[in-house]
Order: sequence, then structure tokens, then C-alpha cells
Amino acid sequence: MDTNFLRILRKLAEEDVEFVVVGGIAANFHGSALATYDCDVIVNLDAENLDKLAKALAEFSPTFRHKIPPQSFNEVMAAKGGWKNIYLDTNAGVLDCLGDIKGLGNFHECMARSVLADFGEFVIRFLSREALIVAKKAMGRPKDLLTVSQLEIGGELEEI
Amino acid sequence: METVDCQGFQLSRYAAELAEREGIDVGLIKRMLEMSPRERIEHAQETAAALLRVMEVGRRFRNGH
Repeated sequence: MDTNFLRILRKLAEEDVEFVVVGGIAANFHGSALATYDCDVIVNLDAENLDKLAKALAEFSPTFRHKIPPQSFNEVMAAKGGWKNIYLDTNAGVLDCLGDIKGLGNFHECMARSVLADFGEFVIRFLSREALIVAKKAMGRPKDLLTVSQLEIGGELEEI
Repeated sequence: METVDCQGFQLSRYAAELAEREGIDVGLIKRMLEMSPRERIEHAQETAAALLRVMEVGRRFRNGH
């Protein structure tokens, strides 16, 4: 049984939401051992995809994480437009839906630099290791640079 | 204490600068603090199980399967 953020990713895939997994979970996919508690995805922010996103997430009771008191993210909110990033809390964990990745660009640019992962019952796109390293270096925070080190060393070890 | 807005939360300037510098998600910390110890452990276990599956699929991907 899928737990936590994987339930969300599976649902997004099943509902044909256009997204690519980025951030710490993509780093885990590429071999990093650093644990992460939030799930970062870059999404196509066009109206049709945002509507699909809101419908797919409905069963997870999404709320905006940085709004007090909590405010629901739903189809009406999605249709308002003007989104850059959507930071959500859900009953399956934290989900950040990003519109742009520093060093890489928008969804379409990330999509072009993604790889397809087969989970058996569903498939998910992850940012490629090379693109993830570019993005993490562009972010430049201590935790990003630690991830870069793990990805680069891991990449060399795999070639031995 | 003087507070400033940091990711939608009112924090001291010191804490806000720390969060900014280290890339810390303040909302995530708040969420964890609101959970009971049991809920936190269960959440960590569920996250670990999901990560385990991602890592396993990643390992197969790198091995070309």
C-alpha cells in the first residue's frame, strides 16, 4: 500500500496532472540518502492542469500552508490564476507545487529534463540527476549543496 | 520582542533570518509541533516507507531495469 506523499503522486499520475517530482524526493530517487519530509513537484500552471490538480487533490483535504487560519485549495481557488507556487498541507503530508525552478525554468523546461520512473501500477516523472544538480547548485543553501555532494559522489561511484 | 513576517508566520528577526539562510520551511516545523509524539513517529514511518519505495524504483532505474 502506498503511504504518505506517494499516495498523492499516484493520484496525480492517475488523473493525468502534468507534473515532475523535484527537490529532496527526486534526490532520493537518484540515490541521495538525505531524508525529506516535504514533496516538491513542478506543475504546468495552465488553467486546465490546475483544475486537474485541484480535483486530484480534493481527497487529501489540501490547505494553504502559509495562511492563518487555514484556507482550502480547491477548483475555485485554482481557477483564480496568477499562481507562482502553491504551498499546501494535506492529510498525506506537505506538498509544494512549484511553477518555476531556479536554474532550470518552468514546467516545460523541467519536463524536457526529466526521466520516467515505473512504479508498476503507475509511472511518475522525476527531474534527471543532472538537472537536479543544476537546480540545487542554483538554490545554493547548505542543504542543497549537501545534496549536490551526495548526487555527484554517487554518480561517480556508479561508474566504477 | 520585535517580530517579522516569515513565510506567513511571525518570528523574531533572528529566527526569520535563520529560516531564510538555511532554507527552513517554517510551516513544516509548525505542522510537526502540532502533532502528538505518536503522530510524529507514525508520520515519519509513513514517510520512510514511501521514500524506501522511491529509492528502490530509483535503484532499478539506475540499473536499467
